[in-house]
Amino acid sequence: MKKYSIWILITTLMMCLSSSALAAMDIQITRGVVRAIPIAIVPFDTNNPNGPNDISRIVANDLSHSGQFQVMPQSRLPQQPHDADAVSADLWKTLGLDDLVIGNAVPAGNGQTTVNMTLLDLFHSNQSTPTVLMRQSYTVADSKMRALAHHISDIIYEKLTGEKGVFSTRLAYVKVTPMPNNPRHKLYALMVSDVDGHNAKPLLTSTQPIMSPDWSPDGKQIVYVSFETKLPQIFTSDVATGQRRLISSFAGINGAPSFSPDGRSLAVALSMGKTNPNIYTIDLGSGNLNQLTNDASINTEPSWAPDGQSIIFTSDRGGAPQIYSIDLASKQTQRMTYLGSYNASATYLAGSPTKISLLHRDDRGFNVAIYDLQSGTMQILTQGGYLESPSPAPNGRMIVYSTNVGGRRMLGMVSSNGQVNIRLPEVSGDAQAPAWSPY
Amino acid sequence: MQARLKQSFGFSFVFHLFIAVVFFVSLSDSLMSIPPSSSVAEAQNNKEIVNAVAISEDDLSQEIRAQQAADAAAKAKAASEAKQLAAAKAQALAQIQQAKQEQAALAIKQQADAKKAAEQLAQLQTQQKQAAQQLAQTQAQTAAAAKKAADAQKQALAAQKAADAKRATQQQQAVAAQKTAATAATNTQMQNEINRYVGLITQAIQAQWTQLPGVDQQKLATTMLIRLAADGTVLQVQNVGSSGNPALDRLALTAVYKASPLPVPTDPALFASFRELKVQFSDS
Repeated sequence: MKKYSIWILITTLMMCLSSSALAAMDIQITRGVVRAIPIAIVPFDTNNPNGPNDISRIVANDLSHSGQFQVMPQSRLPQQPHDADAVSADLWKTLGLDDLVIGNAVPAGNGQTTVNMTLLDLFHSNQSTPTVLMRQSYTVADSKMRALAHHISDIIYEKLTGEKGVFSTRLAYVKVTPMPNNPRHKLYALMVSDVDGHNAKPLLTSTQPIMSPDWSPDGKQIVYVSFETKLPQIFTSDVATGQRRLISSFAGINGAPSFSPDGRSLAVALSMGKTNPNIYTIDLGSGNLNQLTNDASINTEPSWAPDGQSIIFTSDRGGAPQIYSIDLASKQTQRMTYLGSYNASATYLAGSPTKISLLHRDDRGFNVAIYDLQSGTMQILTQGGYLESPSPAPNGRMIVYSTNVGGRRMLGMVSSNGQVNIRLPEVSGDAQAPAWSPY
Repeated sequence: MQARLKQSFGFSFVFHLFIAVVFFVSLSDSLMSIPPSSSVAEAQNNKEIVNAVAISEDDLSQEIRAQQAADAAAKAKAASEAKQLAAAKAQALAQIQQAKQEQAALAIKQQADAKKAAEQLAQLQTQQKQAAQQLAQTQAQTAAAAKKAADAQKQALAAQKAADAKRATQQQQAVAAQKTAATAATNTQMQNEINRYVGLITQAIQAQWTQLPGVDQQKLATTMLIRLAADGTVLQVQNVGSSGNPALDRLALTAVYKASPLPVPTDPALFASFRELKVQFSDS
């Protein structure tokens, strides 16, 4: 009898299971709504709120600037909980939020601070208590607090978007300031800063122009053009040690250096004593030159394809600057852009092998745009102004550029969908020729 | 009738004849003795005349002649009266005889009538008998007919019953068919309702599915098995087919929970189809 009832139970269970499995209604979701993830960063419980090292503020800015997050302003937060148990998911859900970041910073002695952060998912279950997506604890020197904040931004970004964050990457740019004791002369500095413009430090200073910095793929070297000898030369500098190396010092123009994806070569624009530059590659190991273009037009701003098999560059061989591509093996050249009278400064966009960022001029001025090589569509991201030197982030989600604001050059960033466009703070002088570091 | 008429006519003729004889006798009587009343008066006056003293011979002769004439007249009168009597006697006799005859005739007639009546009665009785027989026959016939009718009715009833049964079967079949059709119709209607709610649920989830700006989700295909409460509240979500990107899986999961409660039919029969949903997210 007992055996019998067990069988009945099993059968019933199986029937339930099979029927429920069969009964599942198929629903196909083929499109969503393109939008940023709504998130709130609750100010961390700290002894030093709103200070320069306020982690929550840094994280909020980072995520907000990415264009992938809609960060709720601190003033609109209904509560400021620091403990996951104190968070009522329902309250935050009604504010239209998906996620919540809470945490605290506790002094750990010896100039160190312990930071605890928790990422809460409000829609991970049907419970009124939020789900902990991530919980991290760090003890760092106070001087590294900003770096920690960017790291927290990165892990949140990656957790929620599935892509690596770029908040711990850096920018290289050229800062131009009047000489303190001789305002008629200018001081040039090759700067390296956090992506939010903070922690800017000069890697190199010169009384002569510095131009066109570019990062090595490992992020350890920066290649640039220096006029320190009054003639343009190409150098590399070790970012950590500042150690320099002269790469190219040919007659005439030595310009627009670009690291190959494997970091072993540079693509450069050399005039070799003529009036116009052509595209060459330089093997960094052997120093061997390989000329790619050979004509009388201006050929410059080379940039490698992600696979390292071809290089795109700017040429006015058609009468106006346009983007061309040359295959390294066959040296076959192909014009890439036709829209507009001016397209220059092209770089492949990471993550999208068919897209390049470039500087595009139309009746609204020089703007940052994304051009799709496959579809031939040009998406202009900025509006008006006199923009220069677009350089995409390593995840392709943002593009840093320099722009003219009130007679000064400043750095700006635009998200690759054009939704977020911000200016980076700069205390004095001009900031130009930005280059976004790799991860 | 004719016989009767003849009889009456005969009787009437005899009666008239009798009247005529009586009339003629009285007429001749009067003619012969005018005025009979004076003779009676003279007879009375005789005693007075006897008593008269002065009588003439002539008067006497006249008186004897008158007496004589009167005697003769009286004699004639008596003779006539005897004659008349005899005649009357004869007539009366004749009358009696006739009456007797008539009576006899009447008797005969009565007898005949009685016979006739008897005959008629007999006939009537016969007729009645016949009628009774007829009635009986009719009744028998009626009974037979009734029986026949009853049988027929019985048969008809049976036939009707069979027909009814057949019809009932047909009707049942028709009803079954109709039911099937109705079920089919209901199914169609249910299917329409189901489709409507599938659309509503799809819309509700799509509205909550965040696609990150510029993020290539073309490779994303996440399948979630969702269990719903009767009011559409999402009770449980199980990822049965990951996109391989946990963050994008999570966005799909978030979309499901954000869309909760999902629009579901209130009809339990319809809701049964929505107890479990298999939601596939794919960027087409």
